[in-house]
Amino acid sequence: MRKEDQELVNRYIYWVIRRLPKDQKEDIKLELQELIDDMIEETGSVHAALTKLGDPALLSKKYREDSGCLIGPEYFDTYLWFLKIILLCSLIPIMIVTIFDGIRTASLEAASVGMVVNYTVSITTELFSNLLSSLLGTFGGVTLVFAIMEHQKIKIDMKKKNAADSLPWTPEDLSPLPNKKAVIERKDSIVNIVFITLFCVFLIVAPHFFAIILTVDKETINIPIFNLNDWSLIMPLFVGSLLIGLIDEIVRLVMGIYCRVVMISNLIAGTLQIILSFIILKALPLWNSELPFFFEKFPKEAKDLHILQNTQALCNVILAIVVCITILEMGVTIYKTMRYGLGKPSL
Amino acid sequence: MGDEKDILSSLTSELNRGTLVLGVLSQMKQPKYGYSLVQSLTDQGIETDPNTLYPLLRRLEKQGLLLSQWETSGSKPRKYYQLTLQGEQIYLALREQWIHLSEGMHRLLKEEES
Repeated sequence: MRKEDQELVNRYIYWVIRRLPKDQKEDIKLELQELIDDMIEETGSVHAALTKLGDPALLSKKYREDSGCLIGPEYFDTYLWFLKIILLCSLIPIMIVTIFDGIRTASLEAASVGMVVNYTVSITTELFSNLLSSLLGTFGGVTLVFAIMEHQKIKIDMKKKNAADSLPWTPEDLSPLPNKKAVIERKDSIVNIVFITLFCVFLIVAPHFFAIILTVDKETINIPIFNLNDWSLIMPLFVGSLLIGLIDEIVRLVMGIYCRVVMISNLIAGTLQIILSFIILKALPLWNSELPFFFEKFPKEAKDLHILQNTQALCNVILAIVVCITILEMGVTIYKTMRYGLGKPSL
Repeated sequence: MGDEKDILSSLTSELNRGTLVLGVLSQMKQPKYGYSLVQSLTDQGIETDPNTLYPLLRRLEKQGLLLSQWETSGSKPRKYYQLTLQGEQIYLALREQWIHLSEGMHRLLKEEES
């Protein structure tokens, strides 16, 4: 077979198996190679064989049999992988926080064996209740996002099908193989996913863990850095900003390559995150209002923490870092999409 | 006119889809690779698209009706499919259904003709 013909066959097979479950890819690749070889022998040309096989997207769909699924086989591997990470990163910290808080309260307040038993029962009940609610919340949230993506993909598929009715598919419609640099690996996202999830969990269930701990005269003093009095107002925006980043990671994972959808998602997510960061840091009372009194009261012990004394300056520094990192990430996404990812099918 | 063509095409593919499974199972007592199956079905007057047949073979294998094995001793690797015991039983039952159905259909259409 000529080099150009083999290249065309490779492209065809790639676009068929790209969205198939991982454990089937290699087998279907070999099967298609065998089939196309046989068809070339019969028809005499690669072009005729591929034209007879038809649009790779439709063949891929036939292999997937995904009509009517909430989350089809195309996304299912990624969905399971993502769900496992999110559940691990949320359930373990929730367990640790609940047990730690319970033991701390019990050690301070339980004066008799009876009270210790009461506290143990109360901690166990709270632990199961927290685990169950976060399990349901996490499972529901992740499933919802993936289900929406599945639904959107079906809508795009249907639009493509309508367009394809007027123009029959030919091998000239095959997109080239994507540049290796355009491929987004799971390992590229895992650090972000773990960090965002852990941060969200602690912001929701244990904002008091973000605290300054000082030892004064052999006594431990614990001052939360966030304004917990207005936490019900601040936390949703804070967590929402992080969840936007998490959804952007899901989009990157399911697309698997830098393309228009990844670029648009990243630009929207980045812009929203900058706006929300600005609101959280500049418009909301984020910091504990008692912090200045704390520094005044313990100037010697808190001397290494002087950066926290001027909360206004601290907000500016954090905002500058957030804006720089977000713009940098948006720039990298735009660059990689324009350089390596454009011209590929958007889904 | 376009709608009529679409409806006919959709009904024809529904009819073919229903009968294709039986046609495939009928040919699988001996091991066969995918494209030889396409050719043998076509030779018998059952036009079959490879892009329909290959996913169907995998589905039948998943359902336990077929068993596949890669044969690597020839000039190129080939995947051979063959009926399983369960597949054979299902095939025989389906064949009975088909004979019964086609006799009924034949009577219906003949009556309508006369």
